[in-house]
Amino acid sequence: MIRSFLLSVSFSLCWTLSPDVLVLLGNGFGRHGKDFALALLAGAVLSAAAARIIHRHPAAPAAEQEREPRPGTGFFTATLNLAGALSPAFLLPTGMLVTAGFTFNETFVYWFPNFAFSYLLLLLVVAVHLAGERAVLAAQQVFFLLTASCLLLLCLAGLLTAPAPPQEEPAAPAGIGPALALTPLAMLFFLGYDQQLPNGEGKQLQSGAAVGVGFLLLALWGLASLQHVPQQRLAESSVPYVAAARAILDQTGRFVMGIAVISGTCGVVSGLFSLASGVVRRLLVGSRQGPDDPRQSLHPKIQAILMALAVALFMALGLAGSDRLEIWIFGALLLWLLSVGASCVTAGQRLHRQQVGYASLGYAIGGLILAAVAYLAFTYPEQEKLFGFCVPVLIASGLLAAILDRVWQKIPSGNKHHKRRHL
Amino acid sequence: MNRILSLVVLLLFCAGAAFAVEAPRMDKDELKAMLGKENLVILDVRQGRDWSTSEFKIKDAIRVENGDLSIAEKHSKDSTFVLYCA
Repeated sequence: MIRSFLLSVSFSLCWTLSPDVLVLLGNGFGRHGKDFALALLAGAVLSAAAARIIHRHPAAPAAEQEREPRPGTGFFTATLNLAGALSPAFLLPTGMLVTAGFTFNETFVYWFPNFAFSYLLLLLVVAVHLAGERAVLAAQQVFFLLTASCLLLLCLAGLLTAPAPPQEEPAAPAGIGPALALTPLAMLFFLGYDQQLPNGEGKQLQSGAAVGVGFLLLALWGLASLQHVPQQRLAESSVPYVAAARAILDQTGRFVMGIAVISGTCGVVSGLFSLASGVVRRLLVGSRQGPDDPRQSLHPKIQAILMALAVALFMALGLAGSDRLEIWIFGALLLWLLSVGASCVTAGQRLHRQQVGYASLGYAIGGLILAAVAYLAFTYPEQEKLFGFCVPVLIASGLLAAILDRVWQKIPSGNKHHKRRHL
Repeated sequence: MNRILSLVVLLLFCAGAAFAVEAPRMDKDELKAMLGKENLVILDVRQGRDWSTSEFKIKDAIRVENGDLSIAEKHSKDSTFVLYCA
């Protein structure tokens, strides 16, 4: 039970505890003060409800019987799933591995090239994935425990030590209204609850509870940061988590945060590789293979190598040194949230067809998530560049889904199981 | 400040319109000795995450985004421009 929960939490929170979320969180608490905790709570509640719809209900799309792609009927779902899984798996690691490289260089070993460390971390993650499913599961738990422990230590140290001198009043208006407006942003923090575990324990995934754990950690860290760092500095800093860690425990805090950033980066890279690998595998293979088929274990390894090569190429091309990357990462997160919203709506439709309760909940949560995506997209300052990324990714994902579907339909039914593995 | 300066591994020293010419380099100690002087303009030319994820940023350095060095035109040609890129 505890192991199952730990496994669920470690995959669900791989993005939530990443350095990029810590930046958004620190800036959010800096701009809006304690009100941001309300937005965080609202985002967590909606995310937990979405997780329940996706994972818990027997008719939800994540349930085993719904994993089998049905030719001609799952085009839009496949398109959104591909876009929502592949774009984060390529772009988020590209950015965060560079972040981890700088963190290692600036915090631990000045003479070690940051880029070399980024590639070493990527190599480590690939090695874990090549070692097989058990290694991936074990490593994910280690990454999570290390990151969460470091954050918790800093939170406790920050909250239990004497409060810093009074801060200036926040410039942003306080109250429920601003908090509600920030909820869509907060929903991005908890993405990951849609994960299917690599070993197929999807139905038991306790993602709702995982979201709760994520909320507690983020809220505690935000409040601890506010207690030690002037709000304006938190709002303006590009690394607010370092500023807070240093203010709380000085050099020790930097080291502890450095460990959290590096292990959190490993967790998010490995977790996203697993998520993307799972989505592609379900589309390509379905659930017809027997668990003893040795080829079943081959796909994740090949996919991990291919994804790592793409990330390595992006880093080598200097994408992390370009401001475009931040826009693309935001776009990838929106596509991820969009695929989650679509999954909730699909779950609602299926529940409605089966005349099961909760259908309206699926529609409502899905609708809210889709509205959140629209709000985030249309209030983004660089909309043109954002849509310039999202639209081509959706088109490419649609083409890929259509090609897969067409190939699948051409294969004689007796050979589908065998040939599909060679796609 | 020492920490910040310890990370200054490449500094290009340019003046006025001579940006395109191969510029002399300086080390952290040379810059440290110059800090606080009049007409010293430090341009932080790091881009993307090279800048955003770095913990160390020189105080009062002007961030140059997207390689746009036109900010230099706002300063006197007699100024000493230090480009900080890593």
